Amino acid sequence: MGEPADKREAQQRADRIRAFREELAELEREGALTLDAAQRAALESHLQRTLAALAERFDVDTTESQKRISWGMRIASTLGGLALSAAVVLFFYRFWGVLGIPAQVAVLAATPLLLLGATEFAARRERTLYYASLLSLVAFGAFVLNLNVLGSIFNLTPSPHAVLAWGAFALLLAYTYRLRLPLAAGLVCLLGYTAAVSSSWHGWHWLSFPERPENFLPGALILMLVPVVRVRRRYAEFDWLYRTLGLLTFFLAILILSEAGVLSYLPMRDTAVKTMYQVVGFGAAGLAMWMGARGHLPGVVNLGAAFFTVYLYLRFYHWWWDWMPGYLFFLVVGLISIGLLALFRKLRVRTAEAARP
Amino acid sequence: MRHTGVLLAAAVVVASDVVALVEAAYNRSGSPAAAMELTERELRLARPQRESTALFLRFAWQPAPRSFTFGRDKLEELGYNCSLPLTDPSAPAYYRALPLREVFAVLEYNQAGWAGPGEVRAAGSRLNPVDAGRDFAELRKKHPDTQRFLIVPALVRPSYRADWDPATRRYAAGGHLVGAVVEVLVKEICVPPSEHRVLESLSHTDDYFATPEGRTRGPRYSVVLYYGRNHEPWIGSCRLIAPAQR
Repeated sequence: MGEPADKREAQQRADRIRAFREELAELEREGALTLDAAQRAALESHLQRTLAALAERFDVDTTESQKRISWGMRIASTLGGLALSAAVVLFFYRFWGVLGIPAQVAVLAATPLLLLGATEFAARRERTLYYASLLSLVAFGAFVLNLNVLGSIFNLTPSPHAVLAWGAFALLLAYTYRLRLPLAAGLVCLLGYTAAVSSSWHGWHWLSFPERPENFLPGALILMLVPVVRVRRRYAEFDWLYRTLGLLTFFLAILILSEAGVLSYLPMRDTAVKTMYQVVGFGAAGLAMWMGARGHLPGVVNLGAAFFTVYLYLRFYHWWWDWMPGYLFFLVVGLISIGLLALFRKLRVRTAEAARP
Repeated sequence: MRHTGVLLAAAVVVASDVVALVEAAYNRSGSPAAAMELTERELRLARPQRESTALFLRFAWQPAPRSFTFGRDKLEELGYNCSLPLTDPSAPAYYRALPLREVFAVLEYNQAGWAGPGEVRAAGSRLNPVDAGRDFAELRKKHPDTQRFLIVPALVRPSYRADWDPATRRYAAGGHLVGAVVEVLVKEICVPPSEHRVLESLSHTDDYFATPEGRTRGPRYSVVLYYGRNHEPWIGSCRLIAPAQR
């Protein structure tokens, strides 16, 4: 086992050490393994040294209670970031009217830059990055305010390029400090931007992008592909966010198109489009479950299974609800759920067998 | 890497601000493409939030069906594909789902002979959409009077209307298409600090014409509005109107 590359790997190692200690204690209680005093002392000193090194370098949680407190800190830092962003916005609106235009522009441009500086300062002072995460969120909020208000001051026509700028800023913050919140904000902005560009390419106004779910498919596919084609594993901790956001967007777009074919760009009849996307939906959900099981990605398996079930129940509703008595409909759905349960159970057992050495 | 990331993020902020400022400067460079004096009836006072000190004027114009609507030919001219026959069973869903298109809308000010309902005549906006097109120059050639016709970027949308047959008491086969201007792209115009003192003392904002004072007194201010090279507006000056000048 080499040196962990990042905090995520370091935390995994610390968790494994904790689990190993608990299992060792259990084995000794059951009499399956007994270490002599010298072995025990050597092992304990090695584990202590490893944990101390991990805590020193990556500030990992070495106990269960530390882990719980860390979750609380993460939530507090997110809520704090959102609240401070709202405070910055409202503070500016409070004094907007009393400032001249040059002062308004200067304040708007300086605020995200100052907050960027504050994020860097916090990141240098604190390894856990809770304050840096909070400040990065406020910096992102200040930049959103900056372009929004500049557009309002000069009555500029709304442009999708502002969304691209927000996305780029958030991604730079995320990759510079390895922060997930700015990453999520940046990916949502980039999804919105690719959808807006797709809408414009098709001749519609960019703000119409939510009206055609196919606008979201290129962005969703790009997000799903990033973890697959990434050559360097330096930012592996971001992969799940790319996959989850990409899959969620993809499955939701397919769900809408399988119900309303008229919202498609395809020059086909409404019913043909719906049928095509129903097949694509089932195929994609099945493929996600299979690939997730093979690649040991429980999030992908769960998302695939959830959407497979939603697609299936929607089909049942369309096929049977109108002519079947209510009690029979729910009975059939219940029985099919039991069948699905058995199927997923089998899949689970197979996955466990495949994972066994 | 960390220094590069911070510098790049700062560069994104600076570059975005520079682009926005250059766009604004370009729009206001040279002589304005259009200038028109409008009153509170067309530009309603608005405050974005309770505590806000910023002031905006919200663009008000007569929406469809009170004003300009257009049919299939115009929709095709604006870029909509209307080749699906209206008698086709999927036509209602197809035409109702067509998204927005960006065009230029021609708004006529104080249209001669226009008469809306009573309350609209007394306090409603006197800006009526009368035409729409994709080419600004062509529209300006068609409506050259800059004191009467304002040409602004706007959004249009078609809708499918089923035809009710009172004889059979059923919807007739087929229907017809109605297009309309649904939104102007710059809906709110920021009041510059130089004009704040004129408007900041006014108590009611966009609900003014719903008050008894608004109905009897009429508009309280007029505004000179300019449009620039990018067809984006700005406020030149504001002045209060005495009640008698209505």
